[in-house]
Amino acid sequence: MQKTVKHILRDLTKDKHRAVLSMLALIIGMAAFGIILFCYTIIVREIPEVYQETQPASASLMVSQVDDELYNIIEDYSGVSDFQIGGYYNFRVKAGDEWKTLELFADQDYSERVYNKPGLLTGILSLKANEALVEGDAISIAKADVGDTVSVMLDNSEVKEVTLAGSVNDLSVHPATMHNVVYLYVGFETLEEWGLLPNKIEYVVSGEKYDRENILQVSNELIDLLESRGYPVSSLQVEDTPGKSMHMEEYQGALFLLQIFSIIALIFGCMIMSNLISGILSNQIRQIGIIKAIGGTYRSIVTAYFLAILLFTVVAAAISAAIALLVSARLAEVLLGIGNMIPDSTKVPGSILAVFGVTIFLLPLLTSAFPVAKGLRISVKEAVSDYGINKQVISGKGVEISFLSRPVLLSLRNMFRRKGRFLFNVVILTFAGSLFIAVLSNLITVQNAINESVGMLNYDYEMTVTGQVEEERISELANEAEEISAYEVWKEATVWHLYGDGQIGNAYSLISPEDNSAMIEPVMTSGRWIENQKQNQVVVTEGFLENESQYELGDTIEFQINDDVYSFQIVGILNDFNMAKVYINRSQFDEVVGQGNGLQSIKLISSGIGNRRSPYSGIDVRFEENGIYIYTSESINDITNTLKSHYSVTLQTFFIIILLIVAVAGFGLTATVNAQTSERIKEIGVMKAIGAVKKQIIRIITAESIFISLFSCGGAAVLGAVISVVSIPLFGEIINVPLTVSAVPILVSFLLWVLLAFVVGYLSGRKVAKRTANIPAAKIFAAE
Amino acid sequence: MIKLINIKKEYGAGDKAQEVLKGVDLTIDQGEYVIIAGKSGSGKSTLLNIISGIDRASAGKIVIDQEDIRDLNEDQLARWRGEKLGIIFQFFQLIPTLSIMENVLLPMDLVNKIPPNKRTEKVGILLKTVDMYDHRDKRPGQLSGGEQQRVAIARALANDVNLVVADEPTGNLDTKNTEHILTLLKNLNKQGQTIVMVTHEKGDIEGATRRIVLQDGLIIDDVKYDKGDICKKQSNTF
Repeated sequence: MQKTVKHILRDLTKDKHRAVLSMLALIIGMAAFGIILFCYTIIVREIPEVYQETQPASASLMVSQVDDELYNIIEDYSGVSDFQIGGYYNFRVKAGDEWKTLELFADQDYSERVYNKPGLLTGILSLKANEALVEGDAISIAKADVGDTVSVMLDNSEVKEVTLAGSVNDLSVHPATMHNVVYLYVGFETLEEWGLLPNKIEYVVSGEKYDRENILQVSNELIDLLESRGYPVSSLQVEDTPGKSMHMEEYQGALFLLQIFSIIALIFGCMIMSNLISGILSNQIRQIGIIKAIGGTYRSIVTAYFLAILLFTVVAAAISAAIALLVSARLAEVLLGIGNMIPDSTKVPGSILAVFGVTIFLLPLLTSAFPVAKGLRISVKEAVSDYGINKQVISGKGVEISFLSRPVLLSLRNMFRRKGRFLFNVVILTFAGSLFIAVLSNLITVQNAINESVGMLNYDYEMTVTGQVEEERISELANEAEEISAYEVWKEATVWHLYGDGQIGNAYSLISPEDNSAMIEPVMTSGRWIENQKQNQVVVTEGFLENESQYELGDTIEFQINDDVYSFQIVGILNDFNMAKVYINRSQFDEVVGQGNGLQSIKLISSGIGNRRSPYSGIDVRFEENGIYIYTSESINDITNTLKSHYSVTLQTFFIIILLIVAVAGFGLTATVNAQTSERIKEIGVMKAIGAVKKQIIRIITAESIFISLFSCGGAAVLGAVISVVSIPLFGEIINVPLTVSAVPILVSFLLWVLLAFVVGYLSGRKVAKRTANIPAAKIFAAE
Repeated sequence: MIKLINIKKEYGAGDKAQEVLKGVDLTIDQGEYVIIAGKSGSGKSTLLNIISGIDRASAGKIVIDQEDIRDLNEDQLARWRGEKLGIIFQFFQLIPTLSIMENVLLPMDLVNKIPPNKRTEKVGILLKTVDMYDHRDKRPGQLSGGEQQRVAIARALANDVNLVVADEPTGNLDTKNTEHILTLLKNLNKQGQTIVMVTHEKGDIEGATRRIVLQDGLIIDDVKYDKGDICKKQSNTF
């Protein structure tokens, strides 16, 4: 037996190129399965674990200031089991030459913080006066690192300086790079020096601390209590899924894809394995005959082949496991990093490794069982008479295209020659193609949805002004600025949604564009846009309905604005899935918010600055020099990038999957072409003997590979379209973006696949073709 | 037409080197029908492969139609073979996915010597010559060994070649088919086709104009027959 195994192994590895290629295809198939499986395991484990380590609070309230009396009120209130006092302010920070939006957090001592704890990355948590911590992801935005001093501009235009004493990873904020914002953390001492007071209460409710209903009920009672004692609450923040990472939702799409594709990668790997074994065996027919002729029984040969395949599998499994562990750890870090998370560990649990191990050992053996059994059923007579060109009887006319030359016809007909293998390849490539089409059409649809959402906005730059500024002054400055070609002043205010039972819900931005605004071309999902002078009507965004899914067009909704409650009818739903906003006409806004209240947002059309990232420009400077403090400024490019970055986890996962699909399918095809070519090596020798030059041989083999690849495109188009139609709305639900199926993305994806299939086919066949064409005719005929 | 000067061929290197041809000198003229005979391992197939440019000599000179084919690279050799030489193999080596007609068309398409509009007509003539025209749409797998070899002869002649080489073309055929093939080759030679055939079958000498016997890599016998006398001669060296 040992000798037989050795003999078989020697035969299997005699053609080094084929052996390496087979091994590579196996490794890629197995590694793809491992990468996706391991990455999924790491992400699913790390997101909740890492987040739980921060000890998330149930909710937070913003007040004007926290003093001892307020502290005592909360301490005595039974609905709150524990709480901590902090500070939160929106300012600006100087990053290089630009002033960026700053979210400033404060605590007595960050090393003793109990809830929503940031994790220390570098430096120290205990801060002295005028020292600050910077959020790790914000370092690149702040253009400053630990040890540097940065300038902070307060809302009275006073500039203060803080030294960065350390960096932290804060999971309670959105990634800084996503939102182009800087997060700094200071001690109360610094806050006091700047003339500011703690104004934030983070608390854990009694009872079910992460039950949203419970949190809302307790929070409403607390707000009533505080306001009755003279402490007005300016905002309440309760997450949609308290106690769970806000990023979990962003990962749902990616995790869904990873689940699906880990199975597909495994199936692909097995199909390639089976295909390879069949190819290898067809070259072993004479050897099998000889072993049988000298006394090898069917059972002993099958066992010997399985042992040889097992040895191959062991080597491939060891390499692919190492690759999968390394790549999945890095991939998980990258994907988690998009959500500003740093995994505690990228270790893969033993149970998952065991699943991986068993699967990659058993499945290749199982899938190779069929070709092995089939290959070994050949009789001694048949095996030893295998001289010359394949003797299979091919009847029928085959592909008949009169204008094609014999070499091209040969490529076409060779494609169908081994029907089982051909079918295998077509199935793999059809699957690969259909997944590619589905993945890409989803991707394009998401991108289109983002572009459409941003495309509604006609302005390319917006600035929010602090305090109330007379519109004449804004007009004067805007008209003076050469780079401003048009502008509008919109108004914004924070309003509170009220539930049917009168409980306070989430806070939303109530936005009032100018009457007949030219800065927005609303794309409605349903209903109509706001109309001037109409009373008690609002338009809400798709993003709003994601939070408040109980409403639909025509429903009445209540908001608390200042201290009054107003009812509005929803007359339209705006196709803006990014932000939860409520639009109202100007006359109503002035009536419910008050003419002099709310924030003013200047939307302007500029000469090109909107295309730049963070275009803090001369416009901001000019306004600030004239005493108008700009609270935030954002270009349309910023808005688009922020929007896209919310889906970047999913989009990047998409790309990785596409790459894996193409790599697996490509290697599978290469392995097949190699096997097909090895089987027909005599034919190639004959063609050389009767006058075929290398270029013609290369063309025949490469054309065959391309034909197989292109042949799969028909099936891929149909299957891809079906998967796309089903998956686009489903995927939209997962990532909370209303996605509409349209033909263009599917068609574009299909055309790209045809192009890619051609390239994959060409590249898969080219190397084998060149190698084969370079074998001298004498070598081919040597055996004879 | 063919001039081989001191042709040597070695396989392997160093101590393991095996000299298969040890200095063969041979001249074959246009219109000859040469049989290369010898026992297994005598070097006859190697000599034929060197004449056809499939294999390269380790030393010596080989001039065919004033062209030293040692100077040609693999592609030039392939093109040279396609244009000037037809090969008949022992195991026929027809392409199973192509029909009989397409098999004969293949060298024409590869070499492009015959104008495309004349190819089908020419294939028809060739297949009629070998009496295989009625089978033109069949696949090789549907034909007997003898029939396949007749198609292989037609394929060898497809590009109006100067020389036909055959490596034991009857080695895999029964007596009846062997006779048929030999008659075909004889007739071709009568029409002026130069043929070089390797064989170890005694009967294959029928119709040949010359017999060369190889032993241990050297020519040990070289007999020329007069026209009309050829059928009756038998060799003692088989």
